[in-house]
Amino acid sequence: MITIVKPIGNFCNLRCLYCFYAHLDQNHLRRMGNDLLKKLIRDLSEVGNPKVTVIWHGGEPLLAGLEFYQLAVEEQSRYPYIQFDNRLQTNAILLDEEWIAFFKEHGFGIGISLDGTRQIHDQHRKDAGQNPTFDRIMKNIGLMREADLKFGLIQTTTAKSIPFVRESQEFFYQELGLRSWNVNFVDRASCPENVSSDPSIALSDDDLCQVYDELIDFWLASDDRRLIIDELDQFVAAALGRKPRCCHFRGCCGNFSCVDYDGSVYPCDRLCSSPEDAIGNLQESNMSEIMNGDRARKFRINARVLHPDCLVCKWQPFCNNGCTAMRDSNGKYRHCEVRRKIFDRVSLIVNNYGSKGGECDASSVGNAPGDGPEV
Amino acid sequence: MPAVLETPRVMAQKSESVLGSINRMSALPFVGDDPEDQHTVNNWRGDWDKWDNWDQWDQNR
Repeated sequence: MITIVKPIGNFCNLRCLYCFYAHLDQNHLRRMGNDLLKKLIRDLSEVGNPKVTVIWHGGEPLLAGLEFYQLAVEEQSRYPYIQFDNRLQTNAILLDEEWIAFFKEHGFGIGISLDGTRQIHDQHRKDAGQNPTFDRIMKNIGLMREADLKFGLIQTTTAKSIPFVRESQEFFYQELGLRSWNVNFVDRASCPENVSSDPSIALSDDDLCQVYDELIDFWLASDDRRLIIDELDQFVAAALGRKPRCCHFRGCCGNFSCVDYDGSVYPCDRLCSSPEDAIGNLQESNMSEIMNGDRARKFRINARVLHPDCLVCKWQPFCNNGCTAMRDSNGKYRHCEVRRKIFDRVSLIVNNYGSKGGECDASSVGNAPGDGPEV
Repeated sequence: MPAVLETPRVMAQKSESVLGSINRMSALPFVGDDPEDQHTVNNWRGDWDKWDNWDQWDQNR
């Protein structure tokens, strides 16, 4: 089971250009109470899965304070028959030696938000005083590397990023020495409030294709079998007939939960801005009751509704109408056309490789749905 | 219509990147073999522990 926990809600010490929480209250820090934290851990231990992944998220989750996470791991240790896997996504501004030692001791998986080189990162990610953040983040990444604390990285891409896509990938690979990271995209669907106030940051379908082309070119040219750009790997999985790992391909929407600081439970962190989207509250019910409840079940059923175009698309089993939070008023995934193009392109690359007799596991190649009807 | 390129700008036949991705995928189930497909509405827990191979995946990294 995977649960996203937002211990301080949407509160953040940065004011990123594209943040879909920026229009919400950023003046009051409210933290999940200790009793609620204890109940959350107990509830998670009782849902029936031997392994529970907790993704600490925000806002900026480090604003909850180190004591909060010390209590969390102490509570988790009360249930030794459950394997808790803690992951935390941070902007890295507040990281220091004490945090790093704690994360290392308790095996937290850390994800850093970094949007590329200084030139594009500092356009996107400023602090509350509108000061740039690149240098502070790089300093703290240095601390993590000195302590040998491994980390992942998420890059967010807007229309402003397009001239910097290739150099950002080079920066991650060459200068940071990373071999895996992920790329997110900002469009009108993913952050409507902020894109409305500055439409120039939204990626159009043409822009998205251009970004994918840059990523694919870099991926191929790097010629490194250790390199994983997560978003591209989803398309490779599909090209091989395998089940992609990410929720916005798998059609598993509703199998996660997202818990806000006040105990409100949502089906996803992309859907936790409006109280009407909540499927329950841990202060009134336990996690199993909420996830088995009518609201959660209705959400799961609605999330699995395909668009009529899906029914004649060869990629449907690998796409499942994309992200539920990014469908248009007709219920169709907004990036359907782009995604189909990328499926086709990556499939061509992967199957071309197989036909040339590369030294890969033969069972992995040749299962692409390429023989299906062209749509 | 998006102006995505129809053919790769870099020839892929010898890319180690492609090889690495193809080999990693052997840890994932084929679509249709995944019991989670049948259980996602009624069983929200899915079957992550059996099929997702997160640990194996991480090791492959």
